[in-house]
Amino acid sequence: MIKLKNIEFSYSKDAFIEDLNLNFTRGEMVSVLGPNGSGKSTIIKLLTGELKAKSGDVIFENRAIHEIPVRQLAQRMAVMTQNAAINFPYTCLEVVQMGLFPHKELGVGIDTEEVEHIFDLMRQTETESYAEKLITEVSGGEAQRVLLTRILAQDTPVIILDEAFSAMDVAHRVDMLGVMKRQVELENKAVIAVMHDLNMAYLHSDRIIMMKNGRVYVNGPTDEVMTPDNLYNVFGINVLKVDGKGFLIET
Amino acid sequence: MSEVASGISISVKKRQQKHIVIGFGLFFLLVLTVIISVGLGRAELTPLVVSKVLAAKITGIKSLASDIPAHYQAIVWDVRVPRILSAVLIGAGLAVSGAVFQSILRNPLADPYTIGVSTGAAFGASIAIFANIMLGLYMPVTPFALAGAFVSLMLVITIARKNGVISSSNLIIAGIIVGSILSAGMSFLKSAAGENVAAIVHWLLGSLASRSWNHIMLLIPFIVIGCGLCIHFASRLDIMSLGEREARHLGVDPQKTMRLYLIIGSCMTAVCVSVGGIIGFVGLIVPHMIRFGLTSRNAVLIPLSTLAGGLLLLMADNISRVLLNVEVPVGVITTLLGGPFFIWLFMKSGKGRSA
Repeated sequence: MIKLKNIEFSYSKDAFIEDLNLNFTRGEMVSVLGPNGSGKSTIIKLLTGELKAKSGDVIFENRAIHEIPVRQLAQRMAVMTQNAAINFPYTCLEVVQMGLFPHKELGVGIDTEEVEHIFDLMRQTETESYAEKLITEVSGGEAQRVLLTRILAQDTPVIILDEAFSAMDVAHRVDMLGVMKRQVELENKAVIAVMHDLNMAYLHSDRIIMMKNGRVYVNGPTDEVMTPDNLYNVFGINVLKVDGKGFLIET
Repeated sequence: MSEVASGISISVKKRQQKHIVIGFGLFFLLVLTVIISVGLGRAELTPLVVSKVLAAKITGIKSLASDIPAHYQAIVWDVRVPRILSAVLIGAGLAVSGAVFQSILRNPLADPYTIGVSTGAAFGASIAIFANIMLGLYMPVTPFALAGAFVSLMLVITIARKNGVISSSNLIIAGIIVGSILSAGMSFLKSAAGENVAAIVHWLLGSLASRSWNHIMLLIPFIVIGCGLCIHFASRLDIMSLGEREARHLGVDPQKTMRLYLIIGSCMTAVCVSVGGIIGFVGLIVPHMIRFGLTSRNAVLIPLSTLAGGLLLLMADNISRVLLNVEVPVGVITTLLGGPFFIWLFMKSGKGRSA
């Protein structure tokens, strides 16, 4: 449903991304891995239409992404940006309710069915207990869970997450990835996530894209791609793979 | 619904009811203060005289006030009522544009003066006053102030725009630059005015003395339409306050919306400054107080700011014209009272609000 075709992109004179081709379909959880500055966030911004490629096409549901009005796009694609911080004291519940905005006509309130749906989502993300607290006063990991719930409330076929789990403790990281996995399996959504946690990516992704210096280094099913060799070539670390469990980093 | 969820729903409803009660409370307090204010002043008029004049003027039946001397009628209708209305309108306008600028600049400490539009208005006014006293011309101050505001807004937008994109941080920087250049320009005019400097200084201090019905007629369309638009599009302002990227991903075109609100907020600020001069702190404190005391939701914040801003400036203006023996410009009062209050608020913040 999203296609990147022959993308070339540059921040300065030199091409940063060249000849980039990627496909994303529904019912698939894809993780994008790579060291800092390898182009992960750039890919996300190209996918969401925030950045415009120098050449090549980004096609979303058979339309060029830049031809889709932002409101229509927001009804089909939810994006959690990196380090999204809210400066104003909204309650966590108010923040989650903002996810309904793309589907609401101006001045239309939230009905009981939607209220129940919101609370159901907040229960899944374990944010219900602090729904009335101010977003400016909860911890970083708690705030990320609230923003993640807002993404779920937006109810879009595509969910894009740029380091959405970075501030969460390990238990919540596992839980939230489980929630996302359910969105993929039960509601046939597409989840595309930039991540740093190799083990989480390994355990929960259907497909892995590894980035290095603005290029796709490998792109394929998790088990085939997540090898000690690839990880060494991309990250420069030695790892020991425990099949079906994860990686041990050797120093 | 779970027990937790229904508990939250109930407390949300309670809070909404509280906001409605506060809204009505502010409204009645504002109306009451307006009525009392008409009776306040150096010329002591009885409530009977005041109400007769008002009744006659509002209904258009002149016979109702036939026993009141003409100069009393003039004091009530041509001096006090326009001044009171201008205080209410300017207070409301500054508070609402403050709320708007805080949202679009994503900064709870922004106010209507952050992006330099007010300095533009003050510069325009200074030019007119300077020309009038030094060159003996008769240039109207208010239109010059308005023109100054719009020119500086255009300048700020042009500087802040990079690759066709206006970001909130660039706006603040451009506002500060343009503001300081224009301030220097004003200092130049003041020094060039020599001993006639008082006329410029007095205007800059912010005063509502001797405002006329013409000023009210200028204020009404800007403030009423401005506040109306902001209330109507309040939920969009909420989304804008999350940041430009977030706004886009929630279906709000950040550039279009930013421009729209910049123009609305600046128009309101410009007209307020061009009528009342620089009146500080109302535009910062009112929305800030409501945001941290009650709610950040603009659908509630903006209507309450309208009422509280009008009420606050009217009270400050009453202090300015009645309480003290010498008339102190209201801009001085709001800053003298508002500044320390803000310090207190600022030091107290971080301890949270009871939702």
